[in-house]
Amino acid sequence: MGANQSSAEYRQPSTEAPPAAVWVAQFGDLLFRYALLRVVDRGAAEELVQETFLAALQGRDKFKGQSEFSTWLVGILKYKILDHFRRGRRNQTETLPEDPVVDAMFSAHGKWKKFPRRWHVDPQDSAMDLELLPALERCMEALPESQRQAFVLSVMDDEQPTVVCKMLGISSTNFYVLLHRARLRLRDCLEKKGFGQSDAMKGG
Amino acid sequence: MFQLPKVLNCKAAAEMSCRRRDGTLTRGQRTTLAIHLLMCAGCRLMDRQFALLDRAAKQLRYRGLLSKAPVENTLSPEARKKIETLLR
Repeated sequence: MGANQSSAEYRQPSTEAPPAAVWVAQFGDLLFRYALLRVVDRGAAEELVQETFLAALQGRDKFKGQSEFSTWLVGILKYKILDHFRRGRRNQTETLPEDPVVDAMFSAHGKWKKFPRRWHVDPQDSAMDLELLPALERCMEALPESQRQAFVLSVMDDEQPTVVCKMLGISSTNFYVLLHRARLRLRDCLEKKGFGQSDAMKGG
Repeated sequence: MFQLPKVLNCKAAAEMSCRRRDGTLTRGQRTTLAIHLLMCAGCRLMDRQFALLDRAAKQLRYRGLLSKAPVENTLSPEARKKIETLLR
């Protein structure tokens, strides 16, 4: 601690972009993973990564070292992903079809068919991340595309609902329905992956 | 338009629990939800799990950038080669 800390630990972000020859090796997987979580389709994710690198190559003079180079690349990728979402936009007035998976969770009277179980994860325990986060990632990949997009954009990326509706080309009514179905499916999926306690719970 | 059900069942409670997270419930609707949650242990669990879900999803956003990717979540060798060629 103190003034004698090695200068390496205080390394300033370089103001120069690293040579393009090392980009794929250094940042390829990072960008791919970021994209894959949002578009799921591997081919589309790879294309987005490619577009990002090409845009970065063209605009590399604009990188002034205000941030890490990787952060700058992710910023470009983010715009490419939004473009990707816009290309797949749906009709504003479209009525959403029923979601049979969500409907199957409730009786005709809207009661739980299978009562939610208490989860054995402790939110205070950082070790839970190692268990919960990979499982959540798998469950997100299994969501229908429109539900996943609504969830990722608004919950993960913290975009405003009005922005998400515009990006996805959906009405706000449909947006909230998609989001609520996504959460119900994710909850159900995690429970099926073993986060629910095995002993029967009466609730509480 | 989001209609407030006359008697809140679990399915409607799930939707309202989500809407509360997204900040679109009126005070009256929040009270209706709170009363259902008081009476229904299953929905209480659900409500807490939704909160956990959202928190975990936000962590996942950064994890994609911080942690080492498992092999199945890396660029394919073909894509890697193709992009490297394009960057030359």
